[in-house]
Amino acid sequence: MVEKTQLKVLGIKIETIRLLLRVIIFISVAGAAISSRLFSVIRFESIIHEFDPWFNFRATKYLVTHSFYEFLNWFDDRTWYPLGRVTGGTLYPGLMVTSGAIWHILRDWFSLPIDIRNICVLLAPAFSGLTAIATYFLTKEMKDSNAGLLAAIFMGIAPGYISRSVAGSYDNEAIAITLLMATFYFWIKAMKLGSVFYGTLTALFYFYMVSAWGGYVFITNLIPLHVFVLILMGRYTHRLYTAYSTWYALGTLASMQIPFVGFLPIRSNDHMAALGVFGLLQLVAFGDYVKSRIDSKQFKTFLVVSLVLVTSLGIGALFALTALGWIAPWTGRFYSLWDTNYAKIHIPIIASVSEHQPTAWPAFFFDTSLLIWLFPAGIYLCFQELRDEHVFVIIYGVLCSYFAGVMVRLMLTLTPVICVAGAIALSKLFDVYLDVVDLFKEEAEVTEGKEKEKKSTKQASKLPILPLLSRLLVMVFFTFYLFYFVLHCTWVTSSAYSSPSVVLASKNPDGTQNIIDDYREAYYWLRMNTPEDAKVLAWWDYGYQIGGMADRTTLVDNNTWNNTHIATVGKAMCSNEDVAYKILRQHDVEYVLVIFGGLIGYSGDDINKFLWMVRIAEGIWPEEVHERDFFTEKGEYKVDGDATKTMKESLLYKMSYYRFNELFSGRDGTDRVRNQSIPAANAPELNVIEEAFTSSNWIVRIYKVKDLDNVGRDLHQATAFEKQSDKQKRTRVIKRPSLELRE
Amino acid sequence: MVPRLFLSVIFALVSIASALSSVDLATPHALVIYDPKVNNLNETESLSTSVSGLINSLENIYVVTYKTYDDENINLFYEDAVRFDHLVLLPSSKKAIGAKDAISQHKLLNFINQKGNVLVVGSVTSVLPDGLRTFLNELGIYPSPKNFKLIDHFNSAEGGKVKLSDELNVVKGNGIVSSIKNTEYEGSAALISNNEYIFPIIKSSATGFSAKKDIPAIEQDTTWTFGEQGFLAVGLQALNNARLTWVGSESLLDNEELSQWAFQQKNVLRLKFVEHYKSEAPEIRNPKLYRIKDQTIYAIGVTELVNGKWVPYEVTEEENQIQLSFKLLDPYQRLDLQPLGPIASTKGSEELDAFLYFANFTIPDHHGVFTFELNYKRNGLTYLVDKKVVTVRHLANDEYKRSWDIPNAWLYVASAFLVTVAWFLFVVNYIYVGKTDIKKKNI
Repeated sequence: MVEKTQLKVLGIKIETIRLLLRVIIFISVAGAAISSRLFSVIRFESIIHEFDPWFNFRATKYLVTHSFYEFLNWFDDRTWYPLGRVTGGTLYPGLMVTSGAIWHILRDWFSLPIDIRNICVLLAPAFSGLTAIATYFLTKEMKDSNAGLLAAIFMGIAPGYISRSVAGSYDNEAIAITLLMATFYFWIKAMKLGSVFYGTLTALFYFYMVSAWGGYVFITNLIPLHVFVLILMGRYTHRLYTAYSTWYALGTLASMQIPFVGFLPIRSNDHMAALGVFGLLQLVAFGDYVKSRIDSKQFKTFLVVSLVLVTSLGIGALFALTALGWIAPWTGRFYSLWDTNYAKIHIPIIASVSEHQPTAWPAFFFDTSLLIWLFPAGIYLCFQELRDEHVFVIIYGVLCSYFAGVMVRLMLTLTPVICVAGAIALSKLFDVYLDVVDLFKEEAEVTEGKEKEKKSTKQASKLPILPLLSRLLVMVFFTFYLFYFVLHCTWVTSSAYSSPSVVLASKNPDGTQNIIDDYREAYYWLRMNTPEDAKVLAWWDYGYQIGGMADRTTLVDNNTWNNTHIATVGKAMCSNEDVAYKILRQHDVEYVLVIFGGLIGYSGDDINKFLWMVRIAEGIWPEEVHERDFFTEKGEYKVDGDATKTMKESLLYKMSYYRFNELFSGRDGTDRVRNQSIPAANAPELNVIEEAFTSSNWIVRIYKVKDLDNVGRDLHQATAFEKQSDKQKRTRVIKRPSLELRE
Repeated sequence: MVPRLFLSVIFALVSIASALSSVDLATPHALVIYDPKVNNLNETESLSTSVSGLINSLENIYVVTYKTYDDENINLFYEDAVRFDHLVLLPSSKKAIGAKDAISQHKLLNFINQKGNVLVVGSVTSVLPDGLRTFLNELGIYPSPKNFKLIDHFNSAEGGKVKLSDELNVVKGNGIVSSIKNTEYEGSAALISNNEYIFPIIKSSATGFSAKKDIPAIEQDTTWTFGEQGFLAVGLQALNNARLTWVGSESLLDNEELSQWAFQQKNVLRLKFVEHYKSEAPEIRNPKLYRIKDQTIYAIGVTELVNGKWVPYEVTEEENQIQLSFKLLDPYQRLDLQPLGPIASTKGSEELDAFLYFANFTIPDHHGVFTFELNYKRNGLTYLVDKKVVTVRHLANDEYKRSWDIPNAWLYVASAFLVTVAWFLFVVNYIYVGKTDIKKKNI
């Protein structure tokens, strides 16, 4: 045995070669992970993507231009006007602090003055390499390092994870998945060894995770669930006790240091499972101690009595505290996890977000390719061995499969476990089918035993062709699958997940790429042509972008903390001009921004989101806004000649189709998103606002809110007066006006 | 050398230009448009005392330009900027005028929007040019047409005139005219709309009405105003403080206040300064950032133009108090400003030219973007409007009371401390004291 370990190839120890190979594999995995995320930078440019990243970017800029203290106590008066937002206390600072730290290190230690934007753009790809490595270690704990390497490469290029971590996708998830994997790895390690050290590391990474993403609740519930299941399976050990107690005590205390989390860990129902399991674990430990001291008969009575007592007390306390308001009830987002219709009925603002919609089945294959069918096989293999850590993978897999089916965005948390389980299955397969040594070994033993004389000649003829062939066949197939996997991932990444969505791309008839840059054009216009303290009203989707790109004050943004304020904006959009004008004046709004895709067929425009605005507004003002009024008598949602009166009078409709017919030289226009024709007769007229800017493809239209009339007329009258010609027909007879009595 | 020379030439040019313009701008310009058939301004003797009084008072102060309605070269604007500060429109006998485009309704409105002041004089026999009528109607003033006149059988004077009295005809609280000088009135009346910037100055009595001359019976078509809904003098102050006055007859011009008001010589207020600061840091003026529950002082200096001099403006009536709102969507505070006294608004000056009002209050316990809003709109007085937007932030993480400063927390602090000590004792006991016991027992 001693000789075997010191096996040498070319004078180098085999372990050294293994290590070298592993490092090379790591580097290439990280390289693959990073480079496949750079499509967006190459196709477009180094730009922050989508919506939320713009806020994170803005916050990061604030952090690097101010001190950490100021960042922590940041009161942002440029969003949610006039309420403002206690931004420092309502964000997860992990992401900004991470990139801020990188920026400072590069600048102060290495004298590399890199633009903070580039750090933000490339943070997600950089962390994806680390995720792959963390996944390797996690999977290694499950099976061996072969499986680990497979999991690492899967994790590196699986589209389910790439979707949230391409270059420019500067979102919390970018670093959160890395931390998720690291926390889970340390937890498995701590649980296996019963080590306070690893328990502390788990808590440390848990703290980092809490600081980075609201999804930390997933860990907060998954680890207790794991422990709970292990206890139910009768697998309580002191190691488990040590690991969990260490993690829970330290992790909870640490997580409470994040201002946004604060006292939630002891007050919100989402965190109660962890606390409950912590208590349960103490009881079990105590029971274990008692059991070792008294005989089994007595223990049974003790167990029954204490179980009943503890359960009833615990549940009673939970209900009482929730009823008293000491513990916050479950949040809406949580309910919508269990009842997919809950949000639709109760919280339109959650339901209106596309990533909160249930997942379509093809998405699973689209995002994970062959792993989706290796995943059950991996889970099955976990059941076969069923060590403590396998239980963890099984729970994680089952829970996340459900969640991913409910909400598209939770596909992200499912992907890691799919990679792990898929890697376990595939590596098991490789173990069996690649290992041809024992085939020959058997053969050799057989030959040795029976015929010692005929050695060399017959050995060749007795080569095990059939088993070899079958193995070869399986290997060829799987090699093909793996190739296909790489192709699929690359294709999905490049075609589906690499669009910044701020900049759109379309194909010209001759196949060349046409960049549609209306958003930035309009935001740049706002930045250059409006007063610095101008307030811009737009639907909340664009709040972060206006704040980030145009640097103007917004009324609502993607941090949807105040439903009433959003409903106010919705009401302004769906009411007639007079009602809207009152709202606009009250909120000091100077510009109104709408997104209109009807000209070039961009379907994500405000008219398509309109019903959500109506619904959200109706939730607050059921007497004034009625969703029914926006549907025709046949119940259709129409913008053409059949559109309802309320629809045509709504501010959003008017802003969208104002002067639309002029593009069709005064004839009926065609809305290419809804495929309806916009009648030229009765084209919308604007009185309280005036057109200020329309981008080149009409995607963004900006309107200026008119001031109160200088001489006290209402704005309808003033507009009519403007249009009146100087040389109107002279009236010969002057008629007495019918006026209301002067008070 | 060349550039220097060039520069000095430019400098010379600029200084000349500025000298010229300063001469031009120093005295305001007024334009009087008249009809020689009604008021021949070239023959001073033929003018009524009222009109000549007006002309004289204009001549004293302004650079006055005279144009007739027939003149085709009237232009209120030079490019887009106004050429005149004040415009007087005397009665015209013809509807058709020479410069139709110059005094069209849009030009006149634009004139007001650019802070031009207008005085319109009506009369029974005159007609309003179309542009002017449309313009007045747009504002909400509807003067009666030609040949309509105000009749009041209960208060009549000689020659079919109406006798005006201060009690019946002066609108209470108009702030401009308190007594009518020329009480014999022969002129037209106007209807006015509910435009909130229009306010009547002189009205008809309850028994007065305006109807077509020489028509025995009152009919729908031949009457214009009834009772107190007919107005003889009307003022309008636009949001930009430009003023317009319409009077139904030149006899009302004897009340000089009317033209003085229109030409910004009377009832003109100005905010000398608006300041707010934290009472604990008065050296930082108008800070952008406050903290909840800060003690704040808001102070304004108001000055009034009296006889061409700026003097302190003191509020005397209770209902004319100046108020401050501290608003976030709704007012969180609405306070009467306290008068402090006259002060010198410029540093180093001894001249007391403004009256100081102030409010001292605590910022509400609510963070957000607040506005110090001053909105003082009284009939006849210049509007005083000012908005100062400030941010009110929450307490920072280290600005709360520490736990030991809160008596209620002592219990928890003490228990945390006790648990720590107890735990330490327990460990000591478990490791050292307990072990010997077990050993002894085992032995």
